[in-house]
Amino acid sequence: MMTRFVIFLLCPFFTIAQVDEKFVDHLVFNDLLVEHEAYLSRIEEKYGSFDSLNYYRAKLAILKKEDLEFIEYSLASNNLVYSDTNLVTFISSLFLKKSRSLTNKWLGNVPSSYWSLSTKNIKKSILLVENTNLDASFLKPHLKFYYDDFVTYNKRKAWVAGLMSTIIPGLGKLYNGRPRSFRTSLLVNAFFGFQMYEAINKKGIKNYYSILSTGIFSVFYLSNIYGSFYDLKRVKIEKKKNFLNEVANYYKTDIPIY
Amino acid sequence: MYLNRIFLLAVICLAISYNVNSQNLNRDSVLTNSFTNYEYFKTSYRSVLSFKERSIWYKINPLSYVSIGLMFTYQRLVSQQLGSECSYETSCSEHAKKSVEHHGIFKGIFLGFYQFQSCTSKAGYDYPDHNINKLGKVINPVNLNDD
Repeated sequence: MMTRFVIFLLCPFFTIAQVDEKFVDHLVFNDLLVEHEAYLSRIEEKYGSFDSLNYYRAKLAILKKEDLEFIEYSLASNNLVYSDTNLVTFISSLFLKKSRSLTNKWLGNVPSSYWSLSTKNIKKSILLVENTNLDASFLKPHLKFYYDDFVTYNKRKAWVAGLMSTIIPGLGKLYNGRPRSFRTSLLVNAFFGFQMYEAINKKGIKNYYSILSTGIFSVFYLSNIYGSFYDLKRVKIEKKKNFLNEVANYYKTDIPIY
Repeated sequence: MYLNRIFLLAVICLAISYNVNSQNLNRDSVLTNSFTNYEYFKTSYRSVLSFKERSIWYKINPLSYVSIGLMFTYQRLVSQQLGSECSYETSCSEHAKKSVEHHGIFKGIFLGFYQFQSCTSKAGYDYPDHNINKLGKVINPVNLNDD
């Protein structure tokens, strides 16, 4: 019994970790990515691939901004990456800023037992954006504001924006939530419209100058209609991304991953 | 008469000296910290309009080549002389060119003119923060990437 106890006590003295955490920290804080990569490769050459090495390799992939590589190593780490809840939340918010499909791919691999409350809310937010009929009561007031903004614009119709621009040039932009561009558009169209009117009034419709001014006005007028129609699609995506960015910022952990 | 002028001069000198502060280390450090290396205005990248991804009809359409020529002439000769700074990351002409490549001639020209109409110095206020780059310009990709 005594012998076993002595061996148990002596074990930590003889055990040397394969990856030196302090050295890795030193490499990270000095931005020595190449040396970091070389160090981990050297360990792999010496001891072969193992879970904790894959964990460090996954973290290195984040520093290198290699998202797919990170997912590969996290799969190979035998749930070691997933058990780091801080890392899971950090990556979920980081990926959410980049793309929804990437976040879904990442969260698809993470077993739900490893999900923190923040990770769950991130996933719920993604589902909420895809289906606005779902319950949004879990959202905090700050996020609710951005979600309501997204829902408001998501209900709007592109053809209405086009129609409004047909009636008054630039009004579609106001409908799309771009008030500053609306003023410019109105002024530009008014200027070219007036120019066309003056040219036709003074020189007649068959004059080359009248034809030119009519052409210029037509291009501006028609582009405004089509542009307003197309811009609403862009606005919807912008509002969606804005909401998801806010979600990512809100649930982003401030604890460093190293 | 002269006394009045001398008095006025003395008052001005006193007022100036009151506002002038001697240089000290503290102020120097503020100055040195606030100065950054001057960066020359870089001319934005201008690609040549191409229809590689479009169908054969676009490639044989003479209107395509007219638009290529017009864009090339504008960007190489006119735009560089204007020296104005666009509030969008991709300038109107470059955006029009990319739109023509992506959407075709008519839609592309319409979208180019649409951006031209939207261009104001305060256009950035109409866009969310994630659509503004580090230089304060609006990011305006041609493709709608809903991901």
